[in-house]
Amino acid sequence: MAARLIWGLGFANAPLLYGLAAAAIPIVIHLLNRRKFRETSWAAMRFLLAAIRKNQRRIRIENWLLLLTRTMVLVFLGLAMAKPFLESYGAVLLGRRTHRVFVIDASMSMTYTSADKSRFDQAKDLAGRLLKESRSGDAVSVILMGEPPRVVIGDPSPNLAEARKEIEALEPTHGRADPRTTLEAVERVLEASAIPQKELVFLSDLQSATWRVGETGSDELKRVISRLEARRPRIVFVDLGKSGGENRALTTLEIDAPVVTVGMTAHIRATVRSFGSAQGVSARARLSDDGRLGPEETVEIPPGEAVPVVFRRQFSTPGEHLIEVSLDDDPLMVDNRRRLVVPVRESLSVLLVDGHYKAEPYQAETDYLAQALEPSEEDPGRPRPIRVEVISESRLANRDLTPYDAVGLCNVARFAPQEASALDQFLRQGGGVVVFGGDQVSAENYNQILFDEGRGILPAALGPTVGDAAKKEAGFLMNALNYRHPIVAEFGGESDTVTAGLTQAITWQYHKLIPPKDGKGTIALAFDDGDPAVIEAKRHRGTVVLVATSADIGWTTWPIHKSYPPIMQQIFLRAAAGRLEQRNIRVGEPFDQSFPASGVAAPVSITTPSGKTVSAKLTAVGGLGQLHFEQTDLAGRYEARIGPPLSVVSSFAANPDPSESDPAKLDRSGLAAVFGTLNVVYVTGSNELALDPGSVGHRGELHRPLLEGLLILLLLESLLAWKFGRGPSRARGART
Amino acid sequence: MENYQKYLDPRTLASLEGLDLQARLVVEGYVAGMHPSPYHGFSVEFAEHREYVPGDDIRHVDWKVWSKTDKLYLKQYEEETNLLLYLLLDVSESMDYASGENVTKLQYARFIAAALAYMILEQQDSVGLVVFDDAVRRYLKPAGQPSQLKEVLRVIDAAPAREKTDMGAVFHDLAERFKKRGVVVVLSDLLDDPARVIAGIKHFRHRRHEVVVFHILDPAEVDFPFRETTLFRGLEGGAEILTDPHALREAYQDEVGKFLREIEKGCRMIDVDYVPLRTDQSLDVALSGYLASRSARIR
Repeated sequence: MAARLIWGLGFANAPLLYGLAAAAIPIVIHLLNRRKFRETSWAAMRFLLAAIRKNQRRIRIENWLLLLTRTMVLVFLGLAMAKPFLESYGAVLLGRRTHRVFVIDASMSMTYTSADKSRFDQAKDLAGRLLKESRSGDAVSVILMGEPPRVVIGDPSPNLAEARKEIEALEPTHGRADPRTTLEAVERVLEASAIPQKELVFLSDLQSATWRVGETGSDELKRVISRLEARRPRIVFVDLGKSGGENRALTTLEIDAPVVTVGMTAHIRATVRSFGSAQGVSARARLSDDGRLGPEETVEIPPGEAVPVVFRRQFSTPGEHLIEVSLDDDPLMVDNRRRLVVPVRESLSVLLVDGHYKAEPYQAETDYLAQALEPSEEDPGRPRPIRVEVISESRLANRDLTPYDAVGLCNVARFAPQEASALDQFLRQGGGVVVFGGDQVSAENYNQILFDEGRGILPAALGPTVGDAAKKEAGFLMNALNYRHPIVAEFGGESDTVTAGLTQAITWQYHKLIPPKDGKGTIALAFDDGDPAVIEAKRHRGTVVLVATSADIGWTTWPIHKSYPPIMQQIFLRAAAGRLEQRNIRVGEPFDQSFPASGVAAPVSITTPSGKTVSAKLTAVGGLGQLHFEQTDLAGRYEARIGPPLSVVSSFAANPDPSESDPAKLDRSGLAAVFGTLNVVYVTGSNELALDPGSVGHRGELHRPLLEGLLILLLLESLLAWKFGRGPSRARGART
Repeated sequence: MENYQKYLDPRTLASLEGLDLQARLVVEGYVAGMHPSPYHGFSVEFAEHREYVPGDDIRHVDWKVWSKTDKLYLKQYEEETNLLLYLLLDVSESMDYASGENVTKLQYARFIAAALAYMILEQQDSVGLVVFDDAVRRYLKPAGQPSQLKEVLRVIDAAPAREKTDMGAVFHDLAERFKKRGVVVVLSDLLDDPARVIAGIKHFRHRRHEVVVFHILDPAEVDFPFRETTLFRGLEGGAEILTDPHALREAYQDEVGKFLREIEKGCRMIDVDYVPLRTDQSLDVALSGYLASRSARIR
């Protein structure tokens, strides 16, 4: 449909303006009738003259009125058919093109649905309506406000119909939205625009979690806003949210076992939270395992609080299990379910590297540890969660670590750089490394190769050894540090007889562990002199645990205490937890998974929760085949099919950020606080926008008032014709 | 037997040739429709002219009638029966107007004048004729001879419509000329200053004439039925007016109504019989009007 602009007035059907010529019809008829008349001789001229003398002025006025009315009827009809619109309607300057940037909040809270319409759909409808009413010549950009923001139309597009299609096709994400990066995207779009008059239209629910930025973020945001201010755009916020909203959401879903093996009973813990102030909110949580319905539990949730729901689950088959906990539907549906992909292993595979390997029982460095991890006296029918393989340190260099979940390095004297590199690569794959001390350990080599001033895999440098195992004169007891760390948390609250198995173990000698100042490791256990005994730290996707003393009884009596097997199992399970953790991400986070190097360049087909299939390839990163996937903006299960030569299927789950479940929102003053000095027009919802059409610059549609005017004119014409006693085709003047 | 009543329709009558025939047909048609006897009810004086019956006073027998008809009639009101009728026929140009299929006002007036002359002369009374516009164009003195009818009809028939009307002056002039008292019948559209018209008629009354005014108008002049733009060319040398008659109709009718009311009121004030006529009306209306007024006068 061609639109043409004439004196600030646009016409959607400009060719029909030729219809305005019809307005001349009554005038032409009038003039023709003045030329075409009948003649008659007349005797009673005196009466005629008297009548004309008295009524000429009235008749002339009546005739002009009728002529005017009939002309206006055709003018209005012609104009209405041309569908005019006033270009100057709204607050933007007349006759100047406007670059209008629509910023549509696509965060999860925008999926809140009322009256069968989500806030995101409302935003799209509004944007579509404003686009439809845009003036010809205006240009449009569209930015989807997410994390990260997506510039849908960057360069100012004058093709409004195409822009409407683009907006129509937009879908909300289940993630967060970042105002700062969004405004930076807006800034880039405005920078590229040559149109001087600019207008930003934000369509958002103004959720506090999105718009209330932290202290540091606030400064950064202020800088972006001040840069925006320099471009002098007009900013309109259309608030689609509703204050005082209620919501009920699953905010967490966890499994207590770092690594799950067949036969293991794990606790699946979900948190149900009630946002808002509603009393007596109850929620029914249901568990399903690979789509099979499991147990359900109903809980009462006090206002504004969270209540845990715990399900016990034993996994009897290996492979990837999709655990899902769901609540009954409410207006915000996305946060009513959370998913967990649990890779269940037949058993955990641990490689122990013995620096003091001996064939005799309990003479080698790893004997106690191997026994603790894989007790030999247990029932052969019982599942064995950990399978241990022991090699001497000399074989470490040639060993492919990929099949293992964790590696224990026990009193290994020295490491070559290649070995350190292999361990680092292993950590990248999510593997765990547990390092024990001992008399063969070269602190200098460790510090140089493994610690490398904090850049290496070790979370602490090795200092001089403390104590003397040979003399065994003064021993050090364990300090459990109030059992705060998960490694020892199981002992928390236990009786003294139980905890004595840990606290009474005597250590004669240990390496003084010196964590760097900005070290990220956490101390799980300490000695009673305050020195760290066990430090756990994340590195890449894996975990490193550094134990200050020996794995055997050379330096400590701990291996013969009852606390040793469970704590060692816990240490190795946690060390190997990287294998599990990488399967569950927050919506919007990139997903990374490492595969053997043989899979590099293998084709990958990823099916998203919406059913869309995305193709990718494994890339070579640090000698591994790396799957890196960023399009995780929907909550649910993603299935990656890795093509040959690996030919494996791997799943992962993305869950929404709990902050998006909080319905608290900013109001006008809150928004003003965010935008500071920047003048922002604030309207709430489509109703207010309709009531205050000037809030957004757009063209004013005139054909409706014209049609109403036409109707009034037709009625007026009939009334005047009746009143003046004229037929429908008789509008003539009197001339004497 | 021929149906004479159809000749009361002026349009039918106009299709015939010869005013004498037309006059006779009007009267015959009127009489045939209204009365079993040709002359009964013709005039009050003749109604009293009943045939002699035994017992009547023979002093009242009209021997004049007996000598002509060989019948005995009572002669009680001899003086009253010597009727003198002055026919005043307006032949001004405005009388030449006719709308549609109607006859002109002049034609209509001719029919009435001829019929009256025929009727009066038939009963041995005298008829005079004046043809006028803004002045007296022809004047036939009243006479009662049968030949008078022929003369009257000839003058009526020959009178062309011309010039303007100036009834006031003409009436004053005539009032002075009519020495003998009689009945003055005015046949006109009276399209003149009403005050002057009434003043002129009043002069007749002053001379003790009885006056009957046949006010002849065309239906279009009363109804003003025009809808399309029309150029009105004034008769009697008036202006030309191009106008939308539909818009003016109401105002025009007001003016006509006011004029008619003024004329009628003026006539009533001076005891003049006023008979409004339209050229689409049957001619017996005119004759009835005349006879009704005569009847009222005699009583």
